[in-house]
Amino acid sequence: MKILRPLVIAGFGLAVMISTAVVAHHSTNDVYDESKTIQISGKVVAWRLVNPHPFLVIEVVGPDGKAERWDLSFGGSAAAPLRRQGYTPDTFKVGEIINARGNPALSSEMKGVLIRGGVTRQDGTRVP
Amino acid sequence: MVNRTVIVSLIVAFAILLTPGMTILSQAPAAKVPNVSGVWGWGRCIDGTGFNCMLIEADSPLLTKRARSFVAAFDETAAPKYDCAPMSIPHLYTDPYAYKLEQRPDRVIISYEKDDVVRTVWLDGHGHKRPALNQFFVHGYSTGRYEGETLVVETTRFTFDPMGLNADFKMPTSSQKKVTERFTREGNALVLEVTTEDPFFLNKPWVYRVRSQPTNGELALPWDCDLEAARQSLLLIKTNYPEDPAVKRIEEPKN
Repeated sequence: MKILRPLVIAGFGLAVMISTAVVAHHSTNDVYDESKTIQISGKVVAWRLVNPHPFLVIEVVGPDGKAERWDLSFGGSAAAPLRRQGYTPDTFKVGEIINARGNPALSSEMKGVLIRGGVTRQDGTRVP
Repeated sequence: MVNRTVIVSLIVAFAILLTPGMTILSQAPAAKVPNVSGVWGWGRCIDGTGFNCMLIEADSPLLTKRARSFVAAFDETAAPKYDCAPMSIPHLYTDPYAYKLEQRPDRVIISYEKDDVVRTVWLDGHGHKRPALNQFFVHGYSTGRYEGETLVVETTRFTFDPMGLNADFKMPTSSQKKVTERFTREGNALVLEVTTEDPFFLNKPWVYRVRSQPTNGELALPWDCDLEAARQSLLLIKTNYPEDPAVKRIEEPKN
């Protein structure tokens, strides 16, 4: 498993807004720190294109060598809008490495990222 | 002779008027039913505010003091949506999903892409029985009628709903909620006016108008809510009441 340290990127320059309308009305500002953008890389543990929200969990190894599970959120989006964007139940394979960029969760108990700007595979190709 | 002819004619005419067919002819012709059937996409506000007309902000003057107090006190982690409970109207129109109208002679069926919700609107004049006094429903009890080019749906008998006005902002509605939906075709589009009344939580009726475009194909169903996915967000949300015992969520038996 290729391990990348979570990289905190200050500012808004890299924050590409996706599905703004969907995200905005779900009041994500209580859950994510929208003033920060981070980039993470990890191994897919679970992927289900389901409702009310697609379920994508990856395992990220931190700088201390400890593996932690991160929830990757597509905001308030349900399965149907993601299908229209090209996501399928087979988009991610358990065990594959993916990269994601977005706003980190405020929670100190569970790691999470609100995806801003999509997901890429290990070779850099954009998903979907 | 003349009198006899007149009397016979009057008797015949009277008999004809008493026949069922003539009775129908003597009434005004049935009003034309506007065609509002179809699969309609997520509506956008006619006032040009995108979807914002469908939101009530926490500082809205529409909210009663009781409503503000509820929002402040309610624990997000107790929201029924994390147990896959469905949204009700008016919130159902706030989320970005399509819905379908099917007009039948005595009722209208409204199906929503979100939450697998199906509502039946009982059209007036068909002898449908009203629910018993003690019957309340998550989606209420709906009756409908046609007014010119508009299908008017009135819904009452809602259960108390902690996410009845807005599920994301923890805004409730009471059993006093009444929602009036007015569906009107505008060319290929459908205009929906939604009026929500609830004297417990709204100082005055909340009205918004949205325009939907027809969508190709059927609704993306089933919604088939995934309990684990629904609750995943809870891992990121803090309770307002950490001093209370941790909440153990209900579980469905596995098949």
